Parts: sequence; structure tokens; C-alpha cells
Amino acid sequence: MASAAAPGSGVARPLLEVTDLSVAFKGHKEIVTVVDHASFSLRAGETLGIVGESGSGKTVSSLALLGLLPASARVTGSATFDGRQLVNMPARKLRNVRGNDISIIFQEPMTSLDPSFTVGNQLAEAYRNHRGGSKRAATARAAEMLRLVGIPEPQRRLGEYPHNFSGGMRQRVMIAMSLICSPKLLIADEPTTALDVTIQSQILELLKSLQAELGMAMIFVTHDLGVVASVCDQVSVMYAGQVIEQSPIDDFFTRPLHPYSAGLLDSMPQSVAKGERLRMIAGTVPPPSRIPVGCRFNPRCQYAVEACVVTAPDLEATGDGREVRCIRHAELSLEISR
Amino acid sequence: MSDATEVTGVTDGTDGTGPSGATPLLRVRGLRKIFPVRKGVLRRTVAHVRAVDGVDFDVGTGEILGLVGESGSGKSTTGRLILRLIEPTEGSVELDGKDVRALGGEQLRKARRDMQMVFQDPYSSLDPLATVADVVGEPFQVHFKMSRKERDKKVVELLEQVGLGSHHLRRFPAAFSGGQRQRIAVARALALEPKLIIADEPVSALDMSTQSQVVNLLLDLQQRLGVAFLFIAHDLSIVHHASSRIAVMYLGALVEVGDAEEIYTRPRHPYTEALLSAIPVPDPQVERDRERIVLRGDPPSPLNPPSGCRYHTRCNYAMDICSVEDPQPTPTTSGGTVACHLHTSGPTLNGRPLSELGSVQTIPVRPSTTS
Ligand SMILES: Nc1ncnc2c1ncn2[C@@H]1O[C@H](COP(=O)(O)OP(=O)(O)OP(=O)(O)O)[C@@H](O)[C@H]1O
Ligand SMILES: Nc1ncnc2c1ncn2[C@@H]1O[C@H](COP(=O)(O)OP(=O)(O)OP(=O)(O)O)[C@@H](O)[C@H]1O
Ligand code: SF4
Ligand code: SF4
Ligand SMILES: [Mg+2]
Ligand SMILES: [Mg+2]
Repeated sequence: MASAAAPGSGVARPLLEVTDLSVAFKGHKEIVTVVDHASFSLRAGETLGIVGESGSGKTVSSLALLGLLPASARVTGSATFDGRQLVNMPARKLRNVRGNDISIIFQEPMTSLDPSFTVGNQLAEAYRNHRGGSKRAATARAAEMLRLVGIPEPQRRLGEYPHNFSGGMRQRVMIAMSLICSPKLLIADEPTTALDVTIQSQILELLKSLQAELGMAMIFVTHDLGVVASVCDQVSVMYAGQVIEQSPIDDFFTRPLHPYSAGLLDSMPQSVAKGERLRMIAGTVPPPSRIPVGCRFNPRCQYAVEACVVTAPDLEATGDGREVRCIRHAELSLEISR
Repeated sequence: MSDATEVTGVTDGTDGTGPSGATPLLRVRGLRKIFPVRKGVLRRTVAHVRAVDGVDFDVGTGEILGLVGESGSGKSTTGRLILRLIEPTEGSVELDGKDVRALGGEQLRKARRDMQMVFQDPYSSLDPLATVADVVGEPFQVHFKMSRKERDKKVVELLEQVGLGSHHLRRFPAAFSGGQRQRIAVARALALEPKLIIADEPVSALDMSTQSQVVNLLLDLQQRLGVAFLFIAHDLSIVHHASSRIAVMYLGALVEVGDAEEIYTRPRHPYTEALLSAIPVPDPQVERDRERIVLRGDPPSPLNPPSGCRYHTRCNYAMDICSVEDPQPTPTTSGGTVACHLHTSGPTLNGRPLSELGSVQTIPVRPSTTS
């Protein structure tokens, strides 16, 4: 699995260390904090999965790392990558890191490709922006990348526009684009959501083999727990802007520490008989402007006690390499049986 | 094991193709869409994409039919053709026995009210300048000329049905996450209480717990209101859970259609089998140990589909006849259909599951290069 001793890092210093990352947006009247003191880290060659309810801040925290949020966002905290501080790094320096050392695959394939340029043009430009070289060499590299991600007739496809590609193909183009400069860290936000499973499994295998080859680390934002089980080493669970659990995947799937994690695992179709109503976590995630007092999960938590509506729990290390944000974690036993 | 299903399948009331004579809600025959591919300043047609290449299926009243298949196989195009968002090259689409292509004026408007679509991409499908109240309430304004107050009341009800609170009413789509936007789109599709909803990957962008809410919502709507669904998705475990029947598509053609449980546990077509084997299982131990079917080669281009069976370039069972003759749909022992020569020549399975052939070539998911 993940290289415990990552290549080239004498000490097991993390490649990326995020500490107390917060993101707030200036709204009409108020300032709304949508990511609140998020902390996570990963080593070279390792894969971290980030899961969590829609709107919990997964995309915003990944974008914050790369300075890709709109001007209305205020980012605080620290994110060191390879010894460099990413938070509030000058735009020019950050642009250099982005694409060269860290690449990101966005969640929305349609809006991240420019409809007015051919796919080949966009791929070649992405390469030349960072690596220079001739147009010809860049185009050859572009064709090679398209072939790598399983697009048939790559040479011909280079000359086509994004709207001629299906949703899944556009996403494969995005993956090709993000890998074209062989980054050290790939942040993939729902990279396989638009893909069917045979292509998904090919892409996951591709990412895993590139990872082994290049020592690339990955952050995988996904809601597909099957994908987490198949590619990740660690998983971070977010809820309402906070990290509420970080665990190695084997522990997470058999013995989640947080009631929300247990609820997620329980909502998989595998937990009930065919055609039955699926289990789900009652209620909805609170909007960032109406965060409950105490534990943010308390209105939906079946284990909530009085203290939960008073005290906001901290993210605590449990001593066995896991972290959890729940005041009752030591007394609860949330084993998952299937 | 299979005896029980062998007898019943055919007369199953939920099976739109049943011989009972009842008209299915939706009846699709020989549906075909060929897109021209244009090049250069003169926009000359240089090739053709057979995006949907002669597809037949039915959706019964209140039935959920799952449609799965490779990316680019023509699922979204099929959905768009049914709604006449694009014009088919050939073929017929009947809703309640009426050919949608022949309708005009008021009747077409009615048919459009009866069929709604939820799109794949929750980002581009919502107007960024319209509030949630506008987006979800628009159908009420267009079709019933409701006042704003009445409309808002309806919208709040719909938002509640999809798990969003009324405080979202005046917000713009940009302020929502992907999953929240998809719920808005589902709410909008529900507004006119349609008979059929074509849901194109409606839960793909949602987290597990929200997926459950939406799938439960679809099941509820189906049971409570008798809404039928064409449920397009690539997550076979969700499709299996929600659908009564599943249709599997490959390069513009349906390769297998049948009872959801049968397809999921006893596939008849090699592509269905490969699809099942590729689903990641939410169990790290299983993922490390399991074997997967290797698909040979690249997915072929729809511009130039392989001769004979279009799956033969990647099929582990391919025989000589496969690259020559296009296999025709034949009945399976469980009341479905399958298009594969294994059923009519070679081992001649006659509609029985592939598992009866013994083992296929598989590889370990993770090559044995630990550490
Ligand atoms: N530009 C913005 N201005 C104001 N609020 C925003 C903006 N972008 C995102 N948000 C808010 O930030 C929160 C987190 O959004 P984010 O997109 O990170 O969610 P997510 O966890 O990625 O969800 P999903 O799984 O649906 O993609 C949401 O409440 C969202 O409404
Ligand atoms: N307007 C168009 N012009 C030309 N070709 C098109 C057009 N729309 C779709 N196609 C092509 O038709 C084929 C089917 O596309 P479609 O979007 O229906 O696939 P899909 O099964 O929905 O795929 P996905 O799972 O990736 O969404 C693809 O090869 C696509 O490139
Ligand atoms: S702190 Fe209380 S409410 Fe929050 S997750 Fe733990 S038990 Fe539930
Ligand atoms: S017809 Fe031949 S190539 Fe096609 S799926 Fe069947 S065995 Fe494979
Ligand atoms: Mg997101
Ligand atoms: Mg599609």
C-alpha cells in the first residue's frame, strides 16, 4: 500500500501539511465561514480521501490550497507543501506551483475546458506554459496523454472541440491535462464521478501506477466509498466545514469513530435488501450561516447527549494514528457489520 | 436456483414488454441518432457518429428502468431523443401509445409536461441568474400562471421533498454545492408531477447519504404517485437497488435488457459481466484481494464501430463469428433479451447465465508489488 517510508524523504516529513485552514466568504450582510480549522496531512506517494456531505467544504478547501477561490474568500491558517507556505503565497509564485508541482482535476468537466479551443490546443498549452519547448513536442505529449487515459484515435481527437466529447471523455481529457506535467501532488475533485465503472477502474489503475512510478501523492475528493476503499490509504471526513474524523481506511470501514462516519457507511445500498428504502442520516446539513451550538452534528446525531449541545468538541488524536471530533468517541462502539 | 425465475419473468406485470397487450407508458423502437462530424471552414461533414444505433425498449407505467453503460455509449443521447430535445434520425418514441414525433402544438406541450428530465451536470443545467424560487417555480408560472405567493408555497414543499430548507428560496445556484444543485434540479422536474422522469445521472454528484435521500425520494415518488423513471447511471449497485429492470448499453446499442436482480447476479452478456466486475466494493480488504476481468484494448471509436459484434475487440469470449456477424437480440431464460453469439452458436447458452461457462481470464486488482 502507501509507502510508509516515502522515497526521497529521509524523515517522514509530510509532503503537505494543512493546519487550521479556514475559509470565509463575505456575503451581503455577514461573513460566513465555510471551512473551519481543517487539518490534514499526507506524505509523498500517499493517497488521502476526503469524503463528506455535499456542501461540507471539500471543494472549497482544495481550491483554497491553490489560491483558486474568488476574491470574496478569506483564507487563513497554514498549508505547507514541500517546505513552502501556500496560504497567501503571491499569485505569480502560486501559478508556478500550480500545474507544475500540484495539479487539480475539477469536479465540473464542462466548465473547466474552454469550448472555443480544440482539446489538443488546450493540452499542448498546459504543457508549454510550464515546460516550454516546441509546439510540436507539446502536441506529441498531448497525444500520448490522451492515449494514456484511454481515448481512442488520440491523433484525430486532438483537433476536436470539447462539445464533441461525451461527459466521461471530457473528464478523461481533464485528467490528461492535469497529469501532463507529472505533478508531485494531484488533487482530484470527484474525478471519476462522470465515468462508467470500466473506465473508472482503468483510470484508478492508471492513477495508481503513475503514483507508484512518480511517487505522486493524491488527494481524492469523492463520495464513492468503493473508490475510497480501492485507492486511498487514509480518509478524512468533513461535516459542515470541519474535519470530524481522519483514519486509515481499514479502521474507517470496520470501526468508524464518528457517528456521522457510521451513518455514511450505513447508507450504502449494501446495507439493506434490494428495493427497500435505503438507510440515511435524518435531517440535512445546516447551512454555514446557521451552524448549531456545540457539536455541529448534534441535531442529527442519535447518540447526542446534553453536553453535545453545549460543548463544541475538538479534533482529538486517539493515540493509534486516528483523529476524531466527538465528545463520546471513547464510549461509543460503532462497529459496521454487513 | 434459476428455475423459479425461468417461468415467471415473461408475464411480470412490471415488465413493459409483457404479452398482456397493455400499452407500456413509453415504447421506444428502432431509435437511431447519427451525428454528422463537421470539419474546416466549410463545415463539411467528414464522418458520422452512430451515437444511438437502433434501440428498442419499453418503460411500464410506474416502472423504474435502469440504463447503464460505458461513457459515450449514447445514454444521454437516448434520453434527449425521447424528450425530442434533439430529433432522431430514425425510429419511434411512443408515450401512452402516441408517437411523440407526430405530435404538435398543445399535444406536444402536454407530452413535454408528462416527461421531465434531470440532467447529468448540475453545474451547467441551472440558470445562474435565477433564484431557487425562480428555477423551481418556473413550470408553475409557465403552465398554471400561478401568483408568486402560491408559487413560493409550492416551491417550499418541493424543496422539502428533496431535503432542502425554505431558507434557500432566494439564493442563487452559484451559492450551492454540486449536490445541493442537483436536488434543486430534481425539485424542478417534480413540479408538474410528470408520468415519466428521465434522470440522467441524478445521483452521481451526490454524497452517499444524500444519494440515499434522493433514491428514497425516487422510490417514494414511484410508489406514491406512480411516476416512472428512466434512471441513467453508472453506479450499478444503486441502479440495481432502485430499478425493476436494467438495460445495458454499449457503443450505441443495447446488449442486454432484463430483470435487475438477474442482470446484477447472473449476467448473460460479457460486457455486463465486465461492468459488474469493475464496480469498486466499499471494503478495503475485498478491494485488495479481488480479481477483475481485464478488458482488452481501448474502447473503440463510435465513428468507426467494429464490424460484427461491436464488443468483439474487447471481449474475452470472442469467437470467429463475432467479428463478422452482428448478434441479434435473443430471449433469456429469465424474460429478458441479450445480443451475443454465445447464446446461439459456440457453447449455445440459449439465454442462460454466462457463469455456466466456467472461469474467465482475470487479473489481480493490484499487481503483487507490495513495498
Ligand atoms: N463562491 C462562493 N460564495 C459563497 N459561498 C460559497 C462559494 N462557493 C462555495 N460556497 C459555500 O461553501 C460551502 C462549501 O462548498 P463546497 O463546494 O466546498 O462543498 P463540497 O463539500 O465540495 O460539496 P459537494 O460534495 O456537493 O461538491 C457550501 O455551503 C457552499 O454553498
Ligand atoms: N452534438 C453532438 N455532436 C456530435 N457528436 C455527439 C454529440 N452529442 C454526443 N455526441 C457523441 O455521441 C456519443 C454518445 O454520447 P452521449 O453523451 O449520449 O454518451 P453517454 O452514454 O451519455 O456518455 P457519458 O456516460 O460519458 O455521459 C459520443 O461519442 C459523443 O461524442
Ligand atoms: S459530540 Fe455528541 S452529537 Fe456530536 S457526534 Fe459525538 S455524540 Fe454525536
Ligand atoms: S457476440 Fe462474441 S464478441 Fe460479442 S459479446 Fe458475444 S462473445 Fe463477445
Ligand atoms: Mg465539491
Ligand atoms: Mg451522459
